[in-house]
Amino acid sequence: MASLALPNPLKRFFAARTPQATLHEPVTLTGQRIFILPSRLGLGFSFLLLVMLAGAINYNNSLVFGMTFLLAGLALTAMLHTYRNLAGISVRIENAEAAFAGEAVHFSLVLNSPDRAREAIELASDDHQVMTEIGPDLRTRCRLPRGTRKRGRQTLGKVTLSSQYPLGLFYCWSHIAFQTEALVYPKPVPAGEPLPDAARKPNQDGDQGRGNDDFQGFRHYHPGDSPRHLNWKALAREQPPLTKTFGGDRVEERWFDWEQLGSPDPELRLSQLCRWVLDAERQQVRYGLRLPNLSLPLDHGAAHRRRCLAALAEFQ
Amino acid sequence: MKRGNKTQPAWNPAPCHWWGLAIALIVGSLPHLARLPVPLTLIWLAMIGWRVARGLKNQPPPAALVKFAVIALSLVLLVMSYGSLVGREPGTAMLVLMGALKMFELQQRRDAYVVIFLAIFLTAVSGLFHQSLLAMVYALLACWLIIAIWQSIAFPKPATAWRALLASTGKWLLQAIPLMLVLFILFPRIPGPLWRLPGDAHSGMTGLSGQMEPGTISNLAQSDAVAFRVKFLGDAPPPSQRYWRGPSFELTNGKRWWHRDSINNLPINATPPQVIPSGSGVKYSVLLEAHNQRWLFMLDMPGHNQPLGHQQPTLDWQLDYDLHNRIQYEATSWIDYKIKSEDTNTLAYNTSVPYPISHRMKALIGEWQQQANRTEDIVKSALRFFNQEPFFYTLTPPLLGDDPADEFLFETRQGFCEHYASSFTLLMRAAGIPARVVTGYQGGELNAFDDYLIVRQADAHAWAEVWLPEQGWVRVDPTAAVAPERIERSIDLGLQRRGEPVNFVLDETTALLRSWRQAQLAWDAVNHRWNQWVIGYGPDRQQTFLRNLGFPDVSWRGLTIAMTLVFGVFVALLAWWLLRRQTLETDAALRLYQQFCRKLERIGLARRADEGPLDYLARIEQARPDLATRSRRITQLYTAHRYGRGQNQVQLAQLKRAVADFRPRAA
Repeated sequence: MASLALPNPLKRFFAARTPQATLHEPVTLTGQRIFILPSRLGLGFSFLLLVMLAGAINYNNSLVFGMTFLLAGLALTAMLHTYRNLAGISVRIENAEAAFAGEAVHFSLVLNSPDRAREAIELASDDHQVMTEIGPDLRTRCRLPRGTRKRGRQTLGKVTLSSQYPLGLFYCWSHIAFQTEALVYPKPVPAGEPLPDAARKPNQDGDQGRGNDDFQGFRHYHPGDSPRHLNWKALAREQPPLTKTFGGDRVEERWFDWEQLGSPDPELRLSQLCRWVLDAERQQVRYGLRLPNLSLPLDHGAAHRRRCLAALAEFQ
Repeated sequence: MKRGNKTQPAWNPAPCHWWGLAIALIVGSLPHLARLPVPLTLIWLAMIGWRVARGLKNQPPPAALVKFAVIALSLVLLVMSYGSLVGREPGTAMLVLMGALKMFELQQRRDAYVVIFLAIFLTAVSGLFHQSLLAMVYALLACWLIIAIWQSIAFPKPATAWRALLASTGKWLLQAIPLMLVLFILFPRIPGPLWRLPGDAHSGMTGLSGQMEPGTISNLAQSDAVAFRVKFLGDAPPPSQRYWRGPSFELTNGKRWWHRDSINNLPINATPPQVIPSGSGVKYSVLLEAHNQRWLFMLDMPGHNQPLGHQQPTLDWQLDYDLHNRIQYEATSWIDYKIKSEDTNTLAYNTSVPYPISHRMKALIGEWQQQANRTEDIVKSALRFFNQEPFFYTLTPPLLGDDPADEFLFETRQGFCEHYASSFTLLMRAAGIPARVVTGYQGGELNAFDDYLIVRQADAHAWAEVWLPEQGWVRVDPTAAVAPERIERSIDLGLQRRGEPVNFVLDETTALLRSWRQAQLAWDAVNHRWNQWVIGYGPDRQQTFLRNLGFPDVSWRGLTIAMTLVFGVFVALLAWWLLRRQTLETDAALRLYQQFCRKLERIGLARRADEGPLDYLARIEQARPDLATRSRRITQLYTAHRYGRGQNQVQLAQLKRAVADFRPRAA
């Protein structure tokens, strides 16, 4: 939520009513954490009511009096319903999804209502908003993005839950400060450059049973094997999962080394390493990563990729 | 507040939103359309239709040039039709047009809200024109529909959800009604307007005016509108005695009659003569409709002490102000009375004839005077003349020329009460007897459902008063000599046709007509209550109501405080009621679990105070393996409902069933 320049006492007032929360820890929106004010539409509506009231007094007209008071009562009822729509909801972060610098990381939030369905709730991080509602199963999950600028860790920070349901006359909101962090990988340099030649290391030992070219046979499935190589037919017959193996001479292994990069800017080096990791993974190449204080051995697969990117993200 | 910093996302109205907005505008404007000139109505419809048709195809609003051309055109038409833009009529016409214009240029959600607000405002403004029970029912239904449409625009739902939309809106309106009642009853009502009302603020309310000429009363007589309603404290006087006295007219040019108020500095006495009553008075209360004049109507002859108004020298009662709102007052009158003394100037004035009367009239009067022993005999002769010559009582008499009295008496002989009263009075004056015309109402219909008398504009009447030396002012009704039924019954407007003799309401009607009449009376009884307690709820009624509650003389300050307090209590009650369920259901699970614990307690397996549900379960499982399965299920359901993620009704129902089925027996 774009914040106005609030005077300090107000800032303290809101800060004192903003609970801190971490991963998996639910926060319930209770009375003293929920604020409510008329919206711009609400101010417009109250102006309409004032005009009607003046007319009713002037013409001493009971029907206009009645209409004015009915609508005033309705506005107050709507205020209670707006509050009721937000009160009692508990919010919990389920997980955080990493992203590359410049993109948005996503936090999965689970909203629970103890008693009834809720309508039109807006969740807002510092720079993104999503709308959600809680259906009759009293539970909903939504992904709230949070923009990033540089690699490292991004905390979700203050989240504003708000609602204007049912008529938009009132704006009701509550803040929660989430300490949960998501990893932000370095922004990869633009694609196109080939993997570094120096790192190219043809396989000396001949066929190692890994590659992409010639089908060799089956072996037991290991986690991390590409699904494209799974023997789906066997799986369909409810046999244990098997992975097809391919033979070939062109199995490659590469080391991506911090030291082999000439750029003086460490961030640029990290971005280049990031690009190589992504490309190598896409090309099914086994790769390792060497950083000044850390070395990740040759491997491939989603888990390895994640480890490498995390190392790049957290490199000091 | 903070909302203001955000840019609103672009609005893409669905087809149901276009239709909804058009419906809201039509529903809001409908009560005003009948008064709108036809060309404006056509433009209004065209603007809405055009925009909806375009909107359904996702096309943008018209170009600025087109927009301004249409605005200019409708303003020109508006000024041409009304002559100005100020006042109630042109004002509402302008609002109706503004709704269509806003619709015409509709693009953003904000425009849609303006359209909705205008529709609501127009619905409220219709109260300035109609305040009947039906008008209120229409306004409520219109509000309901418009607010449902509002909600669908604020929080779009699929078009098929309209039933749920109406249901939720209806629920909120019902919740708002107690708040409305508190404000309606306690909001301090002040007499009089805050600012000067436009000239046409009260048009459309009619009644007897301050002058009389042929046609004034017969025009009124064709209106079924209620003039006033009367509740008698004792028995109602017989129909022939129900003369409701209004303004008396003493000045005339032979054709038109004026009240003495219309001429300043008349050399006649300004204090009313003394009325000497005999017998017991008739006490009653009158609920008088607004008629834009000062007259109060009282049964002939009102006494000198009445709680409201001032008695005029002509013995009628007036207010200090023009009556723009319904008013209720108590009064006492005497059927038998004598007026002994009258100011001689007044009597002289009431004998003056505006121009030399015709020879025919002179001859007629001379004949009467010759036969008469006493003044009274002349009056009787005149009445006999009206009764025996071929006079007709009609609502549509022929037009009269320069000497209307002569022409009427000897040639046309067709007239309404004002013709008879005015020619009779002139004849009396020509014969030297002081006489004047009295206007008011005669008769009225008793409503058996609520035991009150309805007096309609159709009952408007004019009669004469003559000064007889022995009796003082005496009421003489020449119409009764021509059409005695007029005095016994009301004019039957349903049977009345132009140019035909007047029909009177007869008792021997068919059963169907009678039951129709009964239904009308029942409906009027409902309307009477409505008018008395809702429409007429002003400063006076409010004070009466509070006095009945036991709070006499509450100032507006006291009212404001009372309103704030009571309103606060009602809002708090509503808030409690709306938010209560939340805790209730958690408690329901707890209550069921405690029931389970009590059942175990009875077999000697009480839960310890410091024991959590899971520890307790472990102990049960150990002590009573036979109860383990059921106890585990109950504990799981309970913990899932209280502490788990998916708390819902199904679980609660399951828990309820499980606890009910759990019947442990001592080992």
